[in-house]
Amino acid sequence: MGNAPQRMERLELMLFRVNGVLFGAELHQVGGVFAPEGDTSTGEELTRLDDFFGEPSDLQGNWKVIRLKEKSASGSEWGFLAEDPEDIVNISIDDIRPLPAIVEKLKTIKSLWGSFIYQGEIGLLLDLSGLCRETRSRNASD
Amino acid sequence: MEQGQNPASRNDEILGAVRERLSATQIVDVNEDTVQLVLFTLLGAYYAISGNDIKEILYPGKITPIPGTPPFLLGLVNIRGDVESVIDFNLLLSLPKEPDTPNKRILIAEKNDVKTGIMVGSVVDVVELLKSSIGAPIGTIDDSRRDLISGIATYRDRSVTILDLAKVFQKMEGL
Repeated sequence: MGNAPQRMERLELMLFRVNGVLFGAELHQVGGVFAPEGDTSTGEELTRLDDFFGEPSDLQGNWKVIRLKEKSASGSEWGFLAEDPEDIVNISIDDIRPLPAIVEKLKTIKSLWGSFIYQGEIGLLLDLSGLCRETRSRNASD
Repeated sequence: MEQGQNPASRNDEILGAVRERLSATQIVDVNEDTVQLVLFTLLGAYYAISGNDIKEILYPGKITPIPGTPPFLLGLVNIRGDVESVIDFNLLLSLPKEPDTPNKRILIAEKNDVKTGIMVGSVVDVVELLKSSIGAPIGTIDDSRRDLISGIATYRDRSVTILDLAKVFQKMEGL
């Protein structure tokens, strides 16, 4: 058997929505899904992605906190609020598309790294570790 | 690919494999004496873009918004399995919002390696005009748009503002 790296053909994604838009994050990055408790305003350890759409949404319906599996050096956890984070799907890389060049240039959430098509709908691929780093870096510079 | 791999390089590797599968060919039609123009409306006024820069005209479907992008970037559309961006030309040209009507269309435009959908009020026609019939932009056009205009033509007694797509895209990337 050779040592050549095996090309990945499928990604296991956790699907969720924010402001009705479909997102996918690789399941191995997810540490757990919890019901939000108490204060859900933006804080260092709990990010609201819906802020990026303009006005934050009312937290009604099936909102949950998705926690990142990776912990910080100090052991603190990080998570963000999402709607309906229940579906786990296996997506072929044939259903993954790069973000159009103009979107790559203009996006401010650098951890949005691609898109995928699921049941005819476009979803956005999110690197949770990157989003955590981005959020912590933004909070540190504020 | 290992799960412990750096996510950024892992994602680049996946996108590299995806891009390999999406190779495309381009056909360019050149005619020295005439220019093909796609005529469209923004708030009822006639505008045009070179037909060489327009690949397709589509009915608007579902647009997926992208958080953290400028308001003129409306989002992404699924075109037969490909994902393209869509921009709001009115916002980009500092015009008031286009009313929602069934006449709206998306022009899939490509120039200088930038490809995007452009939402317009309606598509009027695709015409061939003599290059000699196209005049220089007139002085009454306001400064914010004059730099984006390559010429003025007439279509059925109406003035048509011809936009320079390369300059429009340059403006968009600078915003």
